[in-house]
Formats: sequence, C-alpha cells, structure tokens
Amino acid sequence: MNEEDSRNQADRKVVTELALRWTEVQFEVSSFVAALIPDFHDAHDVVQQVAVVVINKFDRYDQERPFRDWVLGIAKYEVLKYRERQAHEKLIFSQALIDRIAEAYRRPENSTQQVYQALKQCLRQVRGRNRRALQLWYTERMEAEQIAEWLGMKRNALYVMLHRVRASLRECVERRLAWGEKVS
Amino acid sequence: MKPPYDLIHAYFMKNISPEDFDRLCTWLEADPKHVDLLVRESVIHEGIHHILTGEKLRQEEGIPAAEVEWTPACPGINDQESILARYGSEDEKQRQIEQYAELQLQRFLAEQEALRRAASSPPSRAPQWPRIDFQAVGRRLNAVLLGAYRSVVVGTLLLALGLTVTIGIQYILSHRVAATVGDSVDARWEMDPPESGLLPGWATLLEGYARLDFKSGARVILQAPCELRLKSTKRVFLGSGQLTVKVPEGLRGFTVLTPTAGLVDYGTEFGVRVDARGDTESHVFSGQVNVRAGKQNRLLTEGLAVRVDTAKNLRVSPLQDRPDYFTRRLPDKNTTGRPTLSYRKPAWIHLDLAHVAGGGDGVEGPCPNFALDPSTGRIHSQIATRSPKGRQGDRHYHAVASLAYVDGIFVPDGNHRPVVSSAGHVFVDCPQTTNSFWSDIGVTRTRQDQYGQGYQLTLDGRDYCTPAHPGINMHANTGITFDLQAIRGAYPDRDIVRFQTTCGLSTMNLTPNDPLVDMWVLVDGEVQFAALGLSRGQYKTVRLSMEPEGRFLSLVCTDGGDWISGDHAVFGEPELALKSKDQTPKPNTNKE
Repeated sequence: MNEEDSRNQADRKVVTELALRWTEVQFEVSSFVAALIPDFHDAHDVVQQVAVVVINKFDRYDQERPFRDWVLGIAKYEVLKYRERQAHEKLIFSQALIDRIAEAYRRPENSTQQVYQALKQCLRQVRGRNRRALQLWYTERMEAEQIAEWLGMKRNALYVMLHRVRASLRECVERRLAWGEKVS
Repeated sequence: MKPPYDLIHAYFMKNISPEDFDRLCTWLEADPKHVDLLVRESVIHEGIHHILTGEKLRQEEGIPAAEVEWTPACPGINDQESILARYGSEDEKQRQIEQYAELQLQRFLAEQEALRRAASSPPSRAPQWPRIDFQAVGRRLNAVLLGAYRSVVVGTLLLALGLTVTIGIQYILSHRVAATVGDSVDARWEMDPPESGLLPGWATLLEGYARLDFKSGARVILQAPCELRLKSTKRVFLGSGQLTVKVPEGLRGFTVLTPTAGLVDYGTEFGVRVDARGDTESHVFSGQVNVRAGKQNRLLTEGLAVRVDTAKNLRVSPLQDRPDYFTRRLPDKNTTGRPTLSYRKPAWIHLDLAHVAGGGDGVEGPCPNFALDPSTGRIHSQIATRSPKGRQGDRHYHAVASLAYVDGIFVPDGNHRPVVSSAGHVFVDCPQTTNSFWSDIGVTRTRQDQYGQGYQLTLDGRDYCTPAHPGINMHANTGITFDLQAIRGAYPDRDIVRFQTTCGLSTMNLTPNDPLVDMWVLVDGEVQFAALGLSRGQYKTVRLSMEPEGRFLSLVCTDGGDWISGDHAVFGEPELALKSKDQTPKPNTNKE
C-alpha cells in the first residue's frame, strides 16, 4: 500500500469513527439545545452548527475526555453565540442558567437513554386526535392556529390538549423509570 | 414547591408570557433539582419529535425501523478488546462500522430532506371545491339558448334565495342556546360557560362535576376531565371522559356520539365513557339505547353494558352493579358549600384469579369451577386427564371468549416460539419442553379427576385449590393468560397495582421420580418472575408491581427439563390488587 492509500484509509477511519460517535450523542445534543431554544427551526440550525464545529475540530478532540462532554461544551458555546445574536429576545435564559443546565446534562442521573426508551413505550399509548395533534406540532411544524383549525378546535383548547398529553407521557415515563423496567 | 409544569409546557410550546418566563427562571434558580426536571422535560419534548419523525420517515421514505432508531448502546470506539471480541478482526470491525455510519448518514439526509419539504409545502388538506365562474357559465348559456338571459336571472335569484335561507338557518342553529349549566360541584371549565347558556361548540370540564340542562329536556351530568361538543339541543359528541344522560318521558332520540360509536336513547338513563384509548363504554340504567358502531346496530335494554373499541368491535355484557362507575347525580354539598360524597368506595379490591379461571368474576358470586383444556381451548366441568401418558399440545394459542377476564390458554414449548396472548405476544424465553401435558387447568374443587385420582395440592402445609385457599392447578406443561385490559375496563376507577401468588410443586407424591418444574409469570410475553428447577414441596412467593400499560398476565408451568411425570404444580391464591384512583373530591373535614 502506498502512502496515499494509507492516508485515505486513515481518513476513512476517522470519518467513520466520527460518524459513529456523533450518532451516539446526537439526541442528547438536540435535547440540550431544545431546552435552551424552544423554537424548532432555530434549535435545528444551532444543532447543525454544532455538528459542523465538531467535524472541524475533531482532530483536536482529546481522546481522554468523554466525547459527550466535549460535544455538549461545544453546544453550550453555540447556544451562547445564538443568545448574543438574539439580544433583543427577552425569553432566553441567563448565562448562569445555561451553565446550570449544561452541568445538569453531564450528571449521570440525567441519562437521556432510559428516558428515551421509556418514552418510546409510553408514546405508543397515545392515539387518535391526541396523537394527531402531536404529529402536527412536532413533525409537520404547524403553528397552533393552523393545528387548531385542522382539528376543528379552539387554540386554547389545543394547548390544553397538548398539555394534558405531555402530562400523561411524563407520568408514564416516571412510572417506568421508577420501576426500573427493562425496556427494549 | 410544586413543579410549574404549566410554565414548562408553555415555554416549550412557545406560548409563555414574559412574566411567566421570569417566574420559570426564578423557579429554576431556586434548586438544582428543578433544573434536572427541566432536563427531563426537554428530553421528553425532543424525544417526541425524534420518535414521531422516525415514524414519519418509515412511512414516507420506506426507511426500515432499525435505521431510524436511535441506538445509544453502541460499543464505544475506545473499547478495543470488546470490539475485537465481538467482530473477530479489525477489518470486520471497520466494515461494520462503515456500514452502520452509512446507514445513519442516509437517515440523517432523509430527515433533512423531509424537513425541507415540510417547510416548503404545507400538509395536504381536503380537496377544495373547484371555483366556478358563474359569469362564464352565464355567458355561455346566453349564447346557446333562446331566453337564456331570463333563465340565468331567474336561476341566480333562486340560488341566492336558497343560499340566504340555508345561511340563515345555519346562523340561527349555531346561535341557539343548546343547554345551560343547571348546577355544578367544584367545577372548573376550560372556558367559563356564559350565563345565558351554551351554544353549539366545545365545552371542556377540567375539574369537578356539572349538570347540563338541555333545551330538549335532557339532563347530562359531566365528570371531569371531560371534553364535550354540543351539536344541538339533542345531540352531543363526547371526545373524552364520561357523562350520564337522563332523558324525560316522551323525549326520544337524544344522541351521544363518540369516536367509535353512536348511542341514541329511547327514553332512558344511561352512562357513556370514552377512555384514553378512545374506546367507548356505555351502561344502560333504565329504558333502551340503540348503539351503532360501524355497520353494527344493537339495542341495549336496562341492565346491559356495551364496549366498543377503536376497531369498532362491539361487545355486550350484563351490567354489574358498580355504583361508583358512573356519577348519576351530583355529589352532595354540605352547609359550608364544600362538596362531600354520599358514598365511599373501598380503597382496595382483590381479584381472585383462581375464581376467574374457574369461571367466576374474581370477586363474589358463583364460580362453576371450570377446567380448561390447553390443547383445544375447550371448557369442561371438571378436570380431565384423558390419557395416562399425557396429551400433546397443538402449538396454538386458544382464546377463551366465554370467560370474562381469561384471554386464553396454551401448551408452552420453546421449540416453537409459543404465542401467549390474543395480541400475539410471544414467550421468547420459554424453555424447550416435551409439548405434552397431563391434565386440564382448573381449580380442582372436585378433588379428583375422572379416574378417581384425588388431588391434594399442598405447599408449605397449606392445601390449595380449596374454598379456604383457592388456587389454579397447573400441571406441566400449561399456561393461562388473563386479560388485564378487560379488568381495567370493568374497573375504570381503579389501577391494577400488584399481582401476588404462592407458586410451587406440590407435595403430592404419585410417581416414583423426583420431578422438577419451572414456573413463570409473564406480562405481555415478557418474564417478570421465574422460579426454575422447583422440586417437590418447593415454592416461591411472588409479589409483583403491575404497570399500567401491561395488557396480558400469563401464568406458566413448564416441565423443568425432565418429563412431565409428577409435575403437579399450583399457583396458590393468585390475586390482583386493584387500588382506587380516588378521583372524587375529598370529603370535608370540617376543620374550618
């Protein structure tokens, strides 16, 4: 194998390693950014930016340090940059709170994996109109007025419905976690 | 301090005011645990998006489920030894990692494309009516027909008149008061109903009770939480929750529609409930009610109950007298105006599953002491051992439709992935057995089978399968499944909290060998308890917390790896503990 082939193979290894690591932490990063930026589109943009930074700086990643912590650090920085751009926006957490939330994500008791797996089981119980409302909100990204009109209800009633569905999902997740169920 | 879930929800829904946002921040800053709670809510928020988007991708893009599932339990790159042990070689590891990464990349790109498409085009709506250019139609008519101008003018006038009448009628109907709030107890509405009365539209009761007096004369009692849409003075749609309707003499045709059924009264009192799944249940207290579900129509008379599931399957059963199922009158108020209850329901109900297996309802009343043949699903009047050498299972799950809470029975054999419920759950961990069994499943009150063989199923000095200590006689290899959802439907105001039993291999010594059995408790096919290799006289006590989502509970006995000879096992005093949800207002303690 000549030198160029060796370099190509090494590059391929790095790329696949990065892809695998990123997929392991991607959801955690998304939920961390979503905690700080409730707007879907803005949060999505920030997560993309985090991915770009991770790719560009991967060669400087210290293998001794947990990859997850490193990426969350980058995500926090990108959220702070977003916050500076949105200086006029009043509904953004202070830097101190952002630091606290970032710290909370690093704590082992806040593992997202178990919550996610429990949520998958609990979400199966949501049916009919409730499920449709969730789909329209979370996947179709419709505005509340549009969803309410689509479902033939008032906007306030929609918020009440979504609030109730999320409450039941939360209770279901907490029950599953409390019982230490083995989830698949 | 109670978590402000309403503020958190409003924050994620982008529906929070600046003042409420400040309150949320103050709450977060008060305690690090509050931040943990926000983290949990955010994971749920993003998790819903992730899971539903994955579903959408599977449906629209045809991407297999495995490729859109987030699998955080992948081996770490740094764990070289375990990876090499798993893959066998560096090259193989590299190949598998590349393949996995490529699949994840495909998924990511598909998701981005779906998001771009969703952003650029709104979801399809119902087809719009085509726009008709009446002027062009009129011009053409003028050109073709003699007197067409006159025809068009007359036609247009008639059309305008018809539209005016139609619109007028719609306006009058939509602005006609359908009902007024006659009385209420601790009621809190999503939107307070006007004093002048409720117009057709949604009325959502968040807390308490309310009685609506309809202009048609019908009275409806709502129990929160309840979503009701008033359609007219004689027609409502129940989206969720429960209500009771009382219709005066002479009035017929009051209609309650639900997501799965339509109920039309013929001068009666009846209750209707729509549960979280969308299933409808109705009880007729007096008179008659016609139930329509899909193409089915059934006339229910007093004392009957019906359940219609989301697949429009309709099931009628006798109404059991449960006074706390439907609220037929508003709770009493005492002199201070605080609500009290005129009845108290027991906090706990213990459902005897031996009673159920024998054909009873698990609580009281007659129990025929049926025996169940797991190879055919047939019910017998007593336990039968039809062949001294045992009988073979047919590798099928047999539903038992005629016993209220028994879903089915089966002969477990891990050689053939045994199905253990009518929903198709598989007992994946089932050991390989001989696929044969000795006797029917039963409660053995007769104490002997048709050969005169006596049964004494003793564990720890206690003789089970007797009136004092009921039990289910389950010789290997047999299994029985109970329908937890049916039980929940029968007790909607209760949670199934616990299952307990004492199970083991009885001391009955009819064979010279030293038998062994394995005993299992499953929920939806998954093992919740296992006692393996029990020998004669050995037993275990099972005390299992029950989850609210579990649909089927299975009790199984397998042959322990040896032949079935002597495997007289028993599940002693098997019972489900049902706890009251305590939905009703707390009694007044008169402390003020």
